[in-house]
Amino acid sequence: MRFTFATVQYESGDWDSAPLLPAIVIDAVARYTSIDVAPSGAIVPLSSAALLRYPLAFLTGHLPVRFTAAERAMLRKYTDRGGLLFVDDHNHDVDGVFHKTCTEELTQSLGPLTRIPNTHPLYRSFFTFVDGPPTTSHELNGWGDNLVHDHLLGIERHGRLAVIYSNKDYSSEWSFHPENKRFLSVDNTRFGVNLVVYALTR
Amino acid sequence: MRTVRAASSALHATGMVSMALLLWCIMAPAQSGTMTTSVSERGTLNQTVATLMRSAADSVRVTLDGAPDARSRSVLRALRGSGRHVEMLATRQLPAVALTAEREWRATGGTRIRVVSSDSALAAIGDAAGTMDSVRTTGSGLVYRSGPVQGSVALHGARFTAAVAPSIAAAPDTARVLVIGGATWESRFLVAALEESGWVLDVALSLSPRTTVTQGIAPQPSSRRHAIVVVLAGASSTAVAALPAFVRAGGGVVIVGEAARNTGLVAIRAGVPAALIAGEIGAEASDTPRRGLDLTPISALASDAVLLEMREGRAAVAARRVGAGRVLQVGYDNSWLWRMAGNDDAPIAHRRWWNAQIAALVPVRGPLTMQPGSALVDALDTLDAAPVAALARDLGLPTITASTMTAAPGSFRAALDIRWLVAVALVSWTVSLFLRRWSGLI
Repeated sequence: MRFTFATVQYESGDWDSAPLLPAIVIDAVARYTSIDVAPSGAIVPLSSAALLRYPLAFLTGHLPVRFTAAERAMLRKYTDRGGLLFVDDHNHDVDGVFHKTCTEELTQSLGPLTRIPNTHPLYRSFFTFVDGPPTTSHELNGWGDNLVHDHLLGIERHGRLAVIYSNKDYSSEWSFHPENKRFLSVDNTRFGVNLVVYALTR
Repeated sequence: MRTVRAASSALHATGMVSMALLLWCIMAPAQSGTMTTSVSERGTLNQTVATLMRSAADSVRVTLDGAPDARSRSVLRALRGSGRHVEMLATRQLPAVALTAEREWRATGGTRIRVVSSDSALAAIGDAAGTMDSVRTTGSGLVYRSGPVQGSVALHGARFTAAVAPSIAAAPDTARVLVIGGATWESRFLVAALEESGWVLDVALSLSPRTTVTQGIAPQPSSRRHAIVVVLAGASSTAVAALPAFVRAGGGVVIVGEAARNTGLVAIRAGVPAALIAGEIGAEASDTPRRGLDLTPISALASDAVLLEMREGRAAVAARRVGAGRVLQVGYDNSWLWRMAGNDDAPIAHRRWWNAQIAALVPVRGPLTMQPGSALVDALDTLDAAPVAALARDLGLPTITASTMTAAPGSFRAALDIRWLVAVALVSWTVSLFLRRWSGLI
């Protein structure tokens, strides 16, 4: 069965704020690895049992996040069974509404968010990122909190990383057509490959 | 003078008798002799191993008052293997039942018990601590899994009784498993299931032609380090090429799903992989979750392959022995769906199922042990090349070698040594001749 990049659809907020991101991540995985990856992603409701068929899922947004009871229950089941949720704050703002509400929902549902050390295997799973999560071109663009967030947050369930939470706005960084990657001197989507490889091998 | 003549005559007569006996040994047909013995109702032989093995009889007639136990069967096999004709006569109808027990290697411990009987009968399975469960025996066999057992496993039916001590799987620090394949959800969740079961793993997952994710220190199959190799689709050709030699040397190999199409596994797989059949969506959450998994059916089973599981008329799991090792071919793919999308028990059930598949391949290397005061050893290490020698050692018997083999007392012909007959005849005649010549001179 092919690896399919799944975007989580939740009831509140703007879950579809980064519609180009799946394509860029799929393109990066296909370019650098021999992983059999589906050419297009899937959109999966957070409350649906269909989420269980996608052990790696992506969640983003700008607006406040309030999970329903069904969404919380499915999220718990999903992570208990080995699923990995990658959450990215599209506002890159630790004082913003998305960060505050989403972290609160995740903490209530799954447990406290803790810092992922920059020596974590996630940063060596395919490419090596010596300094931890790569900085995006949006963190200092005057929007959001205008800070470089030098680490990611995570939640562990049963000894495994179940949630990776980012304030670095990869949703903006990876929102371009894969064909435009040729204009970049350094491919800024390589960390997306690390995320997928980490999910498939850990 | 008279004395000398008497002595000469006596020696001459001795020589003649020796020659006569020598001629008789040469010309007379060997007396075969038949030894009789019996097996008691408890299954034990009524004669010692030493008596049976040292007998010069060419045939052995065994009267069966009960089904022979494992040790008795081994002795009778050894007698037959030595060239003796073994004839068994039962004094009553003996229902045949076969019982094996193997300790499975799981983190929580466990025992796999197999029962086959010619009768369809209700029987109780128990161990030294008491009865565990009741089962109905069948000719097609059943597999019963329990937790760790105490002492021997016993089976009691209305018309039969059997008992066996569990054979011992390899110690956990030697039962290391190597998982090779591509980076897929199946490999990821299979590794997770095995690690959660307590297996120690080496892992090598291919990410690209030049990149492999490894865990542990040995990404290639090694008979010294690994007991079992699990091969999934996407495994490196180098690693796959080493598997035939690995399994022939005694290792276990599990071939999962589409990996069976790898040309390097043609010589050892249990059958030819047929076209993939998609699983029934949603069935992974049912009581028969493997209906929801993709299946690469195993067709054209090898002549020595054993079918273990079927799905809707198609072979799903099969096994075969290759050299000293075993190969298990699992046609299911994407079993991770069972774990992720199955019912509430799915994660545990998925883990247990894979653990059981792996545990079936752990080589049985445990030594026989005799505990003081315990009942006689019922189970023999069937992989021992010389089970009777091992049994004799455990029973404290002196090693039986060709140089110490002597005929059983009472066999006159066997007691005659041709070399001594010739020597006696020659010496007698020589001395007799000398005495006659000497007396003639006197």
